[in-house]
Amino acid sequence: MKRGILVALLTVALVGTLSYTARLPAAPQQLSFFVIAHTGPGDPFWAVVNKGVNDAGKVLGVKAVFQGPASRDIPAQVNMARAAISARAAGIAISVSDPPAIGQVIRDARGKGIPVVAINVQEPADYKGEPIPYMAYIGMNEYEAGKNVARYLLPKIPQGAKVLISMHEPGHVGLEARARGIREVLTAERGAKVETLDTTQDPTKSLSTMRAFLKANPDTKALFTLGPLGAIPAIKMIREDKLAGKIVMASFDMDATTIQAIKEGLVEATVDQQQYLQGFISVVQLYLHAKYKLAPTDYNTGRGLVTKETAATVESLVKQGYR
Amino acid sequence: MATVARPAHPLLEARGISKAFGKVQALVSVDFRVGYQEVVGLVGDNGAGKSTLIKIITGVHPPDSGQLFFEGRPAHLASPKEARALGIETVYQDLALVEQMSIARNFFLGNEPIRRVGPLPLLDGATMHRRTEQALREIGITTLRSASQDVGVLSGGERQAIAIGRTMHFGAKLIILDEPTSALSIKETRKVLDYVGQAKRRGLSVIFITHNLYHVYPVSDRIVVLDHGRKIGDFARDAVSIDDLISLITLQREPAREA
Amino acid sequence: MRDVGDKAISGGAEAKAVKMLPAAPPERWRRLLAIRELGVLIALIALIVIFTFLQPAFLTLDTFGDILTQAAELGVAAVGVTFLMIAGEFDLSVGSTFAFAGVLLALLVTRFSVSPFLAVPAALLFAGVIGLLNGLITLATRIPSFITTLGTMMMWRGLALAITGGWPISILTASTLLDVLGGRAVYSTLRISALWLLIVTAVFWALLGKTAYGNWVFATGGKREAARALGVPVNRVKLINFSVAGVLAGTAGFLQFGRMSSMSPVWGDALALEAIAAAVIGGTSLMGGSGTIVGTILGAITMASIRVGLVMVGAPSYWYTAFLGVVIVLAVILNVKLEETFAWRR
Repeated sequence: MKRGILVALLTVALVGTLSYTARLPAAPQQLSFFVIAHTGPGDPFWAVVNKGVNDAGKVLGVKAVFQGPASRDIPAQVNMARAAISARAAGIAISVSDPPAIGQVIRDARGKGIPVVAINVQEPADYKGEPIPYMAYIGMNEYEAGKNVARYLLPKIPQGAKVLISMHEPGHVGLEARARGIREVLTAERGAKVETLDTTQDPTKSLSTMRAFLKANPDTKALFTLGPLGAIPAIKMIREDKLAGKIVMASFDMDATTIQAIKEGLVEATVDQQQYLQGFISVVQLYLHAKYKLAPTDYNTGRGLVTKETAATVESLVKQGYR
Repeated sequence: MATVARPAHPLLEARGISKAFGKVQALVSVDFRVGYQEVVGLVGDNGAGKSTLIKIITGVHPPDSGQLFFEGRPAHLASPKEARALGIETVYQDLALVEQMSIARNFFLGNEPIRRVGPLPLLDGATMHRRTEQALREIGITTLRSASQDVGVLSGGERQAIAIGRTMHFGAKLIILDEPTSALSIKETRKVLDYVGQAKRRGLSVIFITHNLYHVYPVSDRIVVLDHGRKIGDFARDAVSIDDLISLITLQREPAREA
Repeated sequence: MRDVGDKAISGGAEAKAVKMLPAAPPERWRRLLAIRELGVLIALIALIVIFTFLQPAFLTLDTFGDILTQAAELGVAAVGVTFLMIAGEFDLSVGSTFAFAGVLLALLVTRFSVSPFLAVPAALLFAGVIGLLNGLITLATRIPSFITTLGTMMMWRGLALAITGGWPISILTASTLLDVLGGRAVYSTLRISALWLLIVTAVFWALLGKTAYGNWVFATGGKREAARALGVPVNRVKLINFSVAGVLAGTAGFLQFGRMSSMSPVWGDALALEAIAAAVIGGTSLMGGSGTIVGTILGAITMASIRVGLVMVGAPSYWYTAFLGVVIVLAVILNVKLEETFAWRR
């Protein structure tokens, strides 16, 4: 019993202190900006965003922090965003990885007067929920990019061909949009039979899943991966199983493995969404808004494709972590 | 010493008990009795049949033949639960108490006092503590700080004492102690032997199973010797010496007239 | 008949009349130091001090509400896991139960338009059945629950992915169900899910400490043979606790659904280990037989504090896991040392 009273007293004391300090004005000595993604810098793609964020912070002389869970984890991302709100961020950039969940956080942040921009993944065009009040989107249009890369490969894909899309994060709005763009172009232009496989983020599982599919469907003509986590095992497979020439492959995003494979002719092209800009520009825009009330504007980071011709020039930049 | 008017029949009587496990004849027509307020030492070497006899008395195994009588009435025990309902309780060495739980919680385990608060049946912690401490005092355990101490910090002898105290408290008439002194120091053993005497003085009967004649001899009223499933001796304690018993067990030679 | 033994015994009993306690710290201090939650309390207070030093905004009601809200899902699931661990078993499948029950509820109310009054009990019942099955398999096969629930963990995760096609299920409009489950903010950053956490904590704290059943749970995990010999139905206790772990994992899934407006079949994959971590930080034994509900909740709050605090001080990503690892080890060492020093009462 006495112990219960003691615990109760401690709790009351804690809450009391907290309510007292809650009234103290928060005085952040320095502007701090948070960029919060659904995956962290362990993914080579996000490592580049991380660098963009850090560089922007250095250039501007502000605190800019990139945060993301070890592997795709929406609740963890939401929790990080809530902590950023509690830390009285001067601005938050966040990937709209799950519109209802992230939408809520963005509304709460805006409700507390914190400016928010979306990066990397935006609210889907057909989203039926309450509109999400981010101020601008800094990233690429996934659906258009999917159509774009599929069109680039059309000359190498025969009529009625079988095509495999490796989906390493099922349910990811952006990846699904990329896949949809690819699928639409190929079925409309070539009447292709497009299969989408959950290849997971685990390279070993990914490899064996794709191999099993190709064993069952040896007439597959093209392979699309939707990011490095899908591309790395796919390139390994094409190299080991000597599939170059039999299967044309294209991917999304930049990493050393994919670029090397493009140089060797194992991969036709990859979409460069220049994610460094997503980190760098979002911090810059949030900074300019905090400082001069300049409204953030949409910024399309998605550019053309990296092909055999351009691969060498970007390769060194990939190694430095900018592309 | 409390004296009770003794009925003509013994508290427990087993007549002609036989039990075989496959080809192994564990007990052969054993007669065994425990009087009211009597401490019976049950001794014998490993494999003598001591534990089989106890398991039959406590309802774990049914006998192949023979009959049990408890308080003069025939008893057919189908489970340990039925034996316990009659007032036959066993204290197994090492198995009696849960170390991580307090003395009071152990004491009332499976018999928790309940106090109703509205529709909620809540544990009556105050009663548990009070009755535990009272019961332990009654059997002469005075070294414990509080009934809320964890059993894990107690000595082996204290644990035995609590287990014995518990069976006494819950109305046991016959307590069976299985090797209660085997892992104890001399001082602790002495204490456990004290508790056996206490139990007897409070009107209970005790079966004391052990290898160690020096432990059982001073507290027993009667000593029964088993060997290879047969009863080879049944003596009033005063009619036999420890040396006689030792030679009986080791040489299976009967030294004196049966009691 | 001579009563030699009796004489000797009564003499002995008189000789050691009431013995006084050896010199010891005053009773009040002893009781304070002996509370099982002391280790985790120290760890939590130390963390609060450190984070407040680095980021003054940490010590505010907003942050506290945030932490409590974040601790809610983990805490509710961890209470079930603690209950089961005290009875001497593990459930590694709580993360999958969490996802499956959450997805099931989401499917029922969205795709099948079932009334929440029916859907919530139905999905909870299903979560309980998942737990019960874990128990039945474990007891029937006598395979350690660590292994059986490793299997069911994969099975239910796979089934959750199968029935949703891997897609999250969302409610896009205002929904009373979501509000009640945890969507609505009660005060500032504090959400309803935190209140559910308090209710679950209170109920299971009372069940464990204040009922006969709680006594049986400790005994079942502490020494099964002793409990059984005293008439405790140990197998039934285990089955009930497996079911409780399932129901609470499902409840945690509902809270997550409420807070996110979305439920994904892939969520909660680290939940089982985090729940065990919360229990262990809070002083629950991996061997069974000892633990407290309040300790587990404090463990969950500690973990949420680390998460929130590291973001707020702007620490680079991934520190969370490393930092958490350090805290787990330190808390366990602290628990063991305090237990050795003051282990005398519960």
